Amino acid sequence: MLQSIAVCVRTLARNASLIFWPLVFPLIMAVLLSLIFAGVEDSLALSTVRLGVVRDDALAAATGLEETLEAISSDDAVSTGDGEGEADGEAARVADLSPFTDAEAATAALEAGDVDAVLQVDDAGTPRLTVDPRDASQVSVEVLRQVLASYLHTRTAIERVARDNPAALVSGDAIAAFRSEAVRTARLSLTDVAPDPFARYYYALLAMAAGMGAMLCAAAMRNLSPAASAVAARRLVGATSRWRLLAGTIVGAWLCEFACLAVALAFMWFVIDVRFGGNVMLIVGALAVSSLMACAAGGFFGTFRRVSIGAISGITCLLSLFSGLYGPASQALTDSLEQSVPVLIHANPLWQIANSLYALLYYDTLDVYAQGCLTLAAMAVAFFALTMLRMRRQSYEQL
Amino acid sequence: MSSFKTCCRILLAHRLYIIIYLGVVMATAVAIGFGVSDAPADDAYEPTRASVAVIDRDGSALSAALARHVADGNDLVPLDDDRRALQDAVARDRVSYLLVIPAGWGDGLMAAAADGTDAPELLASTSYSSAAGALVAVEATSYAQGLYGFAATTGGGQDEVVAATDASWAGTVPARYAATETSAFPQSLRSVLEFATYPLFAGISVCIAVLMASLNARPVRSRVLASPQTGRSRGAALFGACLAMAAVAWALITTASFALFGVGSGALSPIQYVLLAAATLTFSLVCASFGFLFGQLGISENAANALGNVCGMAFSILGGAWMSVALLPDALKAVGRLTPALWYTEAIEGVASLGDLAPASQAPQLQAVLLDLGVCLAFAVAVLLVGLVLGRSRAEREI
Repeated sequence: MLQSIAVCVRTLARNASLIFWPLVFPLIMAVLLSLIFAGVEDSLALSTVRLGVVRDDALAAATGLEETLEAISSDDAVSTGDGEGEADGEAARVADLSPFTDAEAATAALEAGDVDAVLQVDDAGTPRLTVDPRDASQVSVEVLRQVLASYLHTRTAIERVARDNPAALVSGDAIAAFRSEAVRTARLSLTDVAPDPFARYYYALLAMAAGMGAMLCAAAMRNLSPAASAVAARRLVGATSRWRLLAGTIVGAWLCEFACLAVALAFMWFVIDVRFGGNVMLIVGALAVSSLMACAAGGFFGTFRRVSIGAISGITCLLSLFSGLYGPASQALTDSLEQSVPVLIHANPLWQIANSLYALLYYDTLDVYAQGCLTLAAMAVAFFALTMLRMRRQSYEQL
Repeated sequence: MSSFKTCCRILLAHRLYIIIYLGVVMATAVAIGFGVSDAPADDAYEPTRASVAVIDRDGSALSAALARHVADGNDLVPLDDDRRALQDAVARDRVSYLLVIPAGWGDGLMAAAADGTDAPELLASTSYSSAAGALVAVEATSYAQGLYGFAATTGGGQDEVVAATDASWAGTVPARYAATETSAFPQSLRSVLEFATYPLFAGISVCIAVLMASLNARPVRSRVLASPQTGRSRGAALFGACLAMAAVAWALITTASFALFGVGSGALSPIQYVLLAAATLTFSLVCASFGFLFGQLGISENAANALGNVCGMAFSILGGAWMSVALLPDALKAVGRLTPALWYTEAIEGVASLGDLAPASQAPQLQAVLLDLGVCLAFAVAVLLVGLVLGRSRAEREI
């Protein structure tokens, strides 16, 4: 049997286009993803809204609004004032002001696309915004609305205090009480590491590489079914029993795929600096059971002689959509399906692989990880059983 | 002609594989559209809604009011107060903003306001994936500061403080969209067509690889090369078959995406349909040229499969189908210019914004779209020529 394993490993190792999938493919894609994410991190800072302000009597009458506008358009203004949600980099100003004398001029500028939004104060002293619908950055406009709302609320509150308790206003304590930062929010840390928006992509990529690696076992299986290849015909008339050949092939393909994925994982970990949680043994365990499942699935697929093993890449491509690999839209789709029809998503082996790694990163208990690995192991057993069933009647006596 | 027919017969003989592969990868493209929500088509400005969760461990009137205020205008996600549920919500990004009000916070705030000291801290976790959570965080802190302000100035019991704060914080800054004509091009259709770069490329080139595997089989190839057929007519017949394959894939993707995401929205003009179909057809031609090139290289079916998938994926990333091109670093954008996908994506974006423009400015936009498509077509021609030259020199070498 050792001989069968060695033969299988040697055959696969010499087939560069097969080894490409679990080994080179994740390396190329990981480099590409890391380049993209480096850019995304830089550009997450909020953009500055070009705000047209109608400078009329109503604006002048609104107490404190001019100061607020000045504050958000000065160079040292920080966009949300939240601090923790901001990137460490330079903070953008909330708004760039362009003054207009009347509403018509401002509206014309908005239509021409010279400003993103126009601020006008109505008779009741409430600031109103008119937003250019073509402006994609709604978040920046929302930040601006938030700042103006904050101003409006504080103004209303102080007016109310002036009515109910004028004495407090005289001393200036009231304004200080509303403007001080006496109420603070601390960061609630629930997971051992802060959530990393990009780790999921790399895990899904590893899962895809594992899925593509199923081609290894499928190809090796072709060398075992009579009439599928000349090599298979020669091997099957040999003296080695079929189950030894079968076991040797599967173990050989598994060793190959596992080794390739381990290299890919090490590359992501040490070169690209992707964060992995848990200890090394657990991660390697997840990888081992993932590659075992992929081999079992590939072996089952390999028993269908009529379909080219290339079809595995198509199926993996579809399953990867439901492990959240293809950008935010595919993650949103996966997450919403997991909420509504969990069975469908949990039946996706690639999701289970990515999720096991994800569980190691975020949960302080191992139950989700163990559940994922057990599911993968169960899938592997099921695929093996199906492979056996299909192989049972494919010897020379049966043909 | 008879060579072309033979090629088509070979493709038909592999119909099961081709149907599975094309069907599966096209399903990937179409499914991604379901992960994208289309913006409402009316001109009302919809404030961003965030999914929020509040864990109220205090139970005072103040904490209840804060919880109410946070939930107002946002989607409240019910959550159990145990560590695992909270971890789940944050790690899976189910809530954008999670607020935990510690026990004794309400009384602590009242006491702190009376003394003029800082109130007990709130605990919150904001999501990494969007700014919506950070906005809610600012709003919540501002409201809590309002509670503190009233407790410090007007005084009274918790209920009075809540009533005063609620009254002051009721006002919002109204916003509306400027009355510009917008067509509200469905975002889902745009995503599907942009993401289709990967499935189209992989699907077409892999299916062509199946054809090439049959033609490159040694006995077949020897007989073909021994015939008096010229390299050009051989190449033309083969490219004809590639075009047929591309036409099938193109018809699949345009029919499915238009039917599912285009017609229902009613937002597209006939000219937009024509341009979108022309754009996908142009890109399909590029894919056919690449498939033809891979075939002329004489590489194995597996290698062509690998090349098709990796190039397809890289093209779709560089074309901005995963993350918007605006988020990509400049160096990658420059590389993207050298691939047909970015030009195709730009054409789609151009067609999408066509409906937003005044009739006068539509002509230059149309020109820009046609220019993009022209560049795409130039890619197709260039790759085709390289394929023809390579095929010819390879055939001469082999003879």
